[in-house]
Amino acid sequence: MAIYVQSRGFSQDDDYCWLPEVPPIIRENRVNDLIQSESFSVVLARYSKKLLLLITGLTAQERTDFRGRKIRNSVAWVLEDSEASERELRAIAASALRDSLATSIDNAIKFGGIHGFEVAWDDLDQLNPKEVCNFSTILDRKIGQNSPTLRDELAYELEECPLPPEKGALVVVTGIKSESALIQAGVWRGLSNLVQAEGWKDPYKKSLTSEAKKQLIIPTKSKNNTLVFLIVSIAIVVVAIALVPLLLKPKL
Amino acid sequence: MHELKITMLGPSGVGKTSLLTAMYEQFESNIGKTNLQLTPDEESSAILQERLIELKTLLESFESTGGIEGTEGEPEDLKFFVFGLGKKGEKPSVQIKFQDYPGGYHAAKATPEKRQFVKNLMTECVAILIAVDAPALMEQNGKWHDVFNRPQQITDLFKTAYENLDSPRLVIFAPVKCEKYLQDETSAKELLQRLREGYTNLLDLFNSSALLSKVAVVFTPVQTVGSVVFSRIEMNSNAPHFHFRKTTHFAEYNPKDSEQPLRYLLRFLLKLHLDQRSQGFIGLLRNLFRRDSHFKVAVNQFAVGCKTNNGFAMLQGEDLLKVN
Repeated sequence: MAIYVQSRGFSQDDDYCWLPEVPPIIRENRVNDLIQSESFSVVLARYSKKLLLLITGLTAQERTDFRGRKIRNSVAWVLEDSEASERELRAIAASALRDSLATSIDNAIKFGGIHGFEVAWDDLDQLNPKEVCNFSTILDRKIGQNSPTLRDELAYELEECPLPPEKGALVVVTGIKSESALIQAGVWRGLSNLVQAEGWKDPYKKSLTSEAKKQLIIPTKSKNNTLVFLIVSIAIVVVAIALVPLLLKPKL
Repeated sequence: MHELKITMLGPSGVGKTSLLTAMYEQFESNIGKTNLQLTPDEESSAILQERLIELKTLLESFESTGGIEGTEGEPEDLKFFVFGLGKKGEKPSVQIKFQDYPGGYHAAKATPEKRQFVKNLMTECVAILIAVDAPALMEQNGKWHDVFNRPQQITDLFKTAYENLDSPRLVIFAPVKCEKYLQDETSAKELLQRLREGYTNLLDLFNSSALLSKVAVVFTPVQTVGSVVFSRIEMNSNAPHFHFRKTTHFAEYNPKDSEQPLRYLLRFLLKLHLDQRSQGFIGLLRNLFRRDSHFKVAVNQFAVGCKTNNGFAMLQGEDLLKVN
């Protein structure tokens, strides 16, 4: 298991950074494009035979920076893809969604060291979340508004059911991220403050072409407007040129 | 669509995000008076609205030390705040992209990749707002200016970014948390003087023969919250803590002059946009049929409200903001 932590130190020079390094899996798969990392976010994903659990935006209890601003913690777990690994990450994710993980993580991070903060890695390795089950998965893809109720429902689902077998971002819970971005990513379960719905929205089908279609339509309209303007302008100039000799012609 | 990029410049905790948020708050009230509309994309709007709420909650306690939450992220993760600008009721004709980034990219420990990111950003952005921590500049005879605002580092960045500059640029010095220093004409003059002294090398660079005609430079102090003033500095573990307090127990969020950098910015951006649109045969026809008159009118409307005294100053390049 590889664990990565992002936090910051007290001084101006000790800004947010990842230890021991930026998780390559996050960088390679542009995972942060799916979330508002400064707000509480949870991502469960499967990439290249690896499982990723990313939790961001956990506010430190006491640590503040040189300006008195509360510091945020983020943690990423990367495991080889296996049933046991998945159970472990589902359990941690469920615990995070129930808001019962932030303190344990914060307790493992202290000021000090060359980056301004140090991590008790062993403590993060032994979070001991509750056991999860493996009932059958409901494969429908659903998104909804990021509310305590839906977070709790999602936590329950993660404790009961395995993740779907496919690759990519499977679970995304975040603050501000558009509904279309979640759908575009084809997430299995997605919660965002920008999804307008009381509960879960009706299941959707993964589509990779909807955005591309949208992008194609806009420039075409714009091009048409410019073309019409150009044609009309040329026509007016031509008529004007044609009329000049007539107007200048001496009257008999 | 024509695209124009803008960024904020300043070390961690100076107030870049607060400045952007304070300007965003003024978008509607200022642009709404013209025949233009500035439309943020869904995520930009929601994030800035969230920051604005955070800025307002600073007033919940009588005394505070912190600001709105710090920015984080690796260069590849940072997103632009995107706005479409155009005539009211029509599709935007120019896209304005604001880039915020973590101030830690200026830190000595920043990775080469992060430093390069800032350099590239400065090269590609047509306008740069330098957020200046006013209390650090003003208090205790400017003792903390070099530590917090890092003027020499910023000067060095401009030296590289503006080498062989071939297009017009706007640089706005925007001192933030200025509430205490704009109480009267005398204190405003002192702020202006300290700014000139605190950024002498950078101003000399902009005033050099190579850059004088290409870089417009403006000072626009901003009272980010309006009703919170600097009160004192306390030392804690050899580090200064700047304390701020509300002017009264019932004081409310009341920012002042946060529309000023926006006004200068929009004048400059619209001028660039007009120059771009007037090129070529289509541009000639546009001018002939006055298709862009709404932009020209707006530039002049913004210019009317631009302050140039009591702490505000247009140091050079006024022609770069004027339309014919």
